[in-house]
Amino acid sequence: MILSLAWFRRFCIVNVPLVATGLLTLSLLLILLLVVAKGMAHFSVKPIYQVTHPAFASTVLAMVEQRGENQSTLHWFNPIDKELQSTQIELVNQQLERLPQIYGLKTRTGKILFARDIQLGEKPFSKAEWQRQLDENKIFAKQIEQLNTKIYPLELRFAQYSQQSIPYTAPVFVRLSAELHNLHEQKRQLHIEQQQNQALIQFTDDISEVFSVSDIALVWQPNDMSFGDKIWFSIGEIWRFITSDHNASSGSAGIFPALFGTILMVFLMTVFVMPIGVLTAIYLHEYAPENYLVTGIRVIIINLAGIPSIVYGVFGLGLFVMGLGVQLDQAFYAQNLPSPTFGAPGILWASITMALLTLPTVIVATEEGLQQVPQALRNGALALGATKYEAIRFNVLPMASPNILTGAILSVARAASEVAPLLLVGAVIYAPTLPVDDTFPYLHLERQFMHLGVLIFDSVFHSSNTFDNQSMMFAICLLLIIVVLSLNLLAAILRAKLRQRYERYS
Amino acid sequence: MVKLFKSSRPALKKLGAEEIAVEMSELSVYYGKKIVLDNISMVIPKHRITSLIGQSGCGKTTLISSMNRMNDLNKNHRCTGSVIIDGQNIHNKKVNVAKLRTQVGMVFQTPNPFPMSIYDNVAFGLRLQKEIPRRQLDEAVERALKSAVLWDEVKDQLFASAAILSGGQQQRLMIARALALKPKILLLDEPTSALDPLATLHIEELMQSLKKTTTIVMITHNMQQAARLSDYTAFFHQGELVEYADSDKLFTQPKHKQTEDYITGRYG
Ligand SMILES: Nc1ncnc2c1ncn2[C@@H]1O[C@H](COP(=O)(O)OP(=O)(O)O)[C@@H](O)[C@H]1O
Ligand SMILES: [Mg+2]
Repeated sequence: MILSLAWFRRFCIVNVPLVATGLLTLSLLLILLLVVAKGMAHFSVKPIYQVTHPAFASTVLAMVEQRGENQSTLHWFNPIDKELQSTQIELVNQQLERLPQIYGLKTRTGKILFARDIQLGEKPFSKAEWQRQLDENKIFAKQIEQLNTKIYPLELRFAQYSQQSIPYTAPVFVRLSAELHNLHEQKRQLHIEQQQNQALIQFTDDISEVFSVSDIALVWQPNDMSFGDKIWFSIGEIWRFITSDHNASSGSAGIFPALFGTILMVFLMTVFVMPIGVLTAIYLHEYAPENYLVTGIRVIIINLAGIPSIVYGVFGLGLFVMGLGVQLDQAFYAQNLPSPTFGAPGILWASITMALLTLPTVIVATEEGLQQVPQALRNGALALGATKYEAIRFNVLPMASPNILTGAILSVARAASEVAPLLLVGAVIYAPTLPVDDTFPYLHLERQFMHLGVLIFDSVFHSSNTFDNQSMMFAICLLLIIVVLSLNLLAAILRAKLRQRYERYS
Repeated sequence: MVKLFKSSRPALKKLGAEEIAVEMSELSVYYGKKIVLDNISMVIPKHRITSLIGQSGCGKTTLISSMNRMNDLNKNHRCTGSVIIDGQNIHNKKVNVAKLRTQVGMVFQTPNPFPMSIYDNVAFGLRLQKEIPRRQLDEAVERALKSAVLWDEVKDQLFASAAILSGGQQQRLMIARALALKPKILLLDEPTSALDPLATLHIEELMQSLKKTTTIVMITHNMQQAARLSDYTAFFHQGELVEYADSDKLFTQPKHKQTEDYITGRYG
């Protein structure tokens, strides 16, 4: 009896942690799987049904999202408002019909339309014809561009003549205006021809609208695509998702500004945190005297890593935005007051706040690396006439670089995934401009920015009316995971390379 | 006896000022409260090989370290007395320590190659001094490796990592690294303790040839080596200089009982 109890105890000690670890790993994997599956679903080709339902007077075109037994969310196209609308209704399969003809369209402004038929001029819609007309329009646009370059200098001369008060009847003037008139006429003609490449889009039997082909960004026939077509379409969707603008109101669901904002913020954060962190660690480890003060500072730094991140957000808001920013405004941007320049949340303050948040990570990792460098190596350099600085610069730092890199990566991963403090110091759900553009000084550190994490946060709580909101959230999650994981992978490879180089010496 | 007086080496007491490389007087070194070197006064003759022998822990490493101030690195180290090189007390606060160490080279007991190529290891000290054109640097590295009798073995893999060398080769690389700076004095801490006989032979030959231009101070536990190689030998015991004389004399007619016991292997 006692024996079996002991056996049971041993069995538990061995197996309970094992089972717990296994379960944990499994659930993590499941979450990852869920994110990947749901995220990828965002880019899949979803069929458009023709729905016949007593809730609608006539049949409507819709995408259907199953929500359990019979209950569905219908994202249906309202042909009068030309907008997608979502409704919860009970559906049975008989009410759905998959017609191969049905089109999905995306306009240049990011609007999504469902149509029964498209006519390109006289001809029925075909990919080739649409492409031909697009190319034609491109050529027209080019020609207009060329005309413009011709017109511009003539216009200038025209203005000069009138300034020099040359009479309109003078022969030079007459010739010039005739030429200008001629060119303008050509340009107008081109515009008209460009407009003639039109698509007539039939939403229902009696509602239709005419679009210029150049206004249509994308046409697809989800019910009539081969497997290859679907894959190709999904790849295109992923590309557009990553590269196009985000605009909830027009329904354009790209995340480029958020991706850009995240990367820029993380980059700036790295620029701030790495030199300061590494220098602090060098000072603490190599130069600081060993006394209670320095030990105290070290303990404080290590414990700073445990402070909740929102506290950093509040701190950043109070010290940087309200304090430093307002002072800066009064000193240098007084002409803009009362509208703030640096006295409002912005990407500069956000990245500095994140730098503060990740500083302990960098310091601790660097110190660890410095500790691993053998004393004999430092002595070797010193014995060859190196100063302490030179020994650190040429021998100690290179050998500590794998650890410094680890610190950098940990801090980048942290900064890329943190949301709460960012909301207080500069990240917004929608920013009309990127922090980098072509107006001087190109990098606008005072601007607010978009951030992937904030976008996820937003799509969970304030779902806007885009029909694929939820799957978009998972797609962003997936992207965030990919960004962080690939950074980690990169660092792991670099670190392994560096380690390999140095391990035989320590 | 007769042979002794015919020897080309002058007695230590009769050395002229220009024949002395280092002059230590009343040097005492403490680590914390512990006294490690007790009132040492001795001279190191120029362009000779001087051996330091004695039990482990008797302060030999500490003594050579005080000739290029590597002791300074120890936080609770303290020393009194003077070490004069070129008429200057190097323990003076005003001395440029980095410059001193380029002139008084030191090779540690265990090889500590830098995590760089063989070439970079040798060039390290030179590069710290000033910008040197590549061609000159190449020549200097080659010269240093040749004088450390390592050139033939590594000339085809100069840019390979220094870690691939064997222990003996690494030790010679350390010597080459120090020699690249053309030091006036070379301090060697048990340079052959971990080497096989052939590598030991290499290093001994190397020291013989270096003697013409460099003053060498060597720590060794090998009595034959000290007798064979060095001109003068000093025996230390627990931080005190017991006996310091011409090697032939010290090994054939030690004056002190302690010395005799040590060199005949009767204790330690
Ligand atoms: N960094 C140090 N701190 C305190 N004591 C030391 C230190 N280095 C050496 N010692 C002590 O000084 C004495 C002499 O050491 P060392 O010069 O290395 O002897 P040797 O080279 O003759 O073996 C030893 O007793 C040793 O314990
Ligand atoms: Mg020693």
